[in-house]
Amino acid sequence: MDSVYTNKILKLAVYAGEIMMRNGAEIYRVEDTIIRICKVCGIRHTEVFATPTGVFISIASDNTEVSAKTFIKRIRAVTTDLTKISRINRFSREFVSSDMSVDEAMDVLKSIDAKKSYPEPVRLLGSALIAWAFCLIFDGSMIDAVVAVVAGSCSYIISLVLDKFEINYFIHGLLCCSVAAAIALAATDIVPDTSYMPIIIGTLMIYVPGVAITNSIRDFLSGDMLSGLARMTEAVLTAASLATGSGIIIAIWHLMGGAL
Amino acid sequence: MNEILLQGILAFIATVGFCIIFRVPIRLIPVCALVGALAWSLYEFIFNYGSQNQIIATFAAAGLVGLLSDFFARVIKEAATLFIIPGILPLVPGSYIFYTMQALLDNDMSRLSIYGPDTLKIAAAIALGLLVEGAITNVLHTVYHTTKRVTSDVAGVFRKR
Repeated sequence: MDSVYTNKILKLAVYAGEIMMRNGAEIYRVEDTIIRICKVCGIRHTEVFATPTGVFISIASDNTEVSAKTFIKRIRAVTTDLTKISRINRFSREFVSSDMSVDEAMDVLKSIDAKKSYPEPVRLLGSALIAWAFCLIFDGSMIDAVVAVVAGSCSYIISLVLDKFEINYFIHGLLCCSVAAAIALAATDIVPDTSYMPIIIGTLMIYVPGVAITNSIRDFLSGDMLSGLARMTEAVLTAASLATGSGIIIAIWHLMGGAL
Repeated sequence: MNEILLQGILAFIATVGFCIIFRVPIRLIPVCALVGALAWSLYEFIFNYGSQNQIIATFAAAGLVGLLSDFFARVIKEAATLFIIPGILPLVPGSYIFYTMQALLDNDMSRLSIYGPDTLKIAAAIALGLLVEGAITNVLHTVYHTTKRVTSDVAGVFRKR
């Protein structure tokens, strides 16, 4: 097995792992996919260590340690795109069962990675749906829910803009929630028969770190304590940023003499 | 009962919203939303007609999310995460996070001492629900496959004679 070929396999495996990690897969799935890809290519020894901030792979094609190769991929900017995870899941199954070449597989991965998310108006609609439904679930009236749709959409627009600037996640959560809280408080002042609590909670639910919480639990479950802790911390900090954002605005509202 | 149906429908809509934001493939959105709606309905049912305890209700609902996700993952041949992530979101204690923060800002220690621990307990209940369900499914899965293998082995022995 020549070294050009093993390099290609290594790159393929790292790329697959990177895409999964960046889009919110659990550690277990990432490591399993990488090992499966290497195994089917005839690599004897594969060792993977995946964390939410980086993927490390060492492979050796024979028993001599001279041929061992290592590839480290640092991972930044994590988003959630479940379509990509589903696609890669299917790709790894196909790759293992068919005789797809490594180059072809690389092209498939590139096309998966290049796929864009749903268009922004659709995602805006999604955030409006969440704010509307949760406002009603938390005992809001129909008028509250309409305000929540406005607050949710406005804060999601802010969120999309901030995403473009790749702003720090804490500031991101803080700003989004303060916009929502400001709209909710202003609306309760102007529109009669509204209460700000269900509106703020409904909007808050858009940004709640559900993916981080779920993945951290699943990581703990499969024994990846390091990643579990990392994601748990991410979840706690994000929740804190949301709470601080709306809290600051409520405090300012108090100071300005606004009625609650 | 009507109230629970309404809550279920609302949770369905909310989960569709999460599916869009987290970009679940379109053909899977109805399934994911169904998981979310059923879990939230179970939560509401237990909370209103059963124990009146959010923590037990969350535990049971999280278990149901895990169970349904494992089931659909096997049937549709997709990763279970695709169903778990949107399905679990209605259970996340967003309101409790908010109340805790509000109590903290008002310096209201008596309310803080209620909402703060409750937030953590609900988060733990979600974790435990998924965990217990995962363990049970694993055991059942292993038992099922072992019995299947053993019975086929035994049958094979008899067939040879």
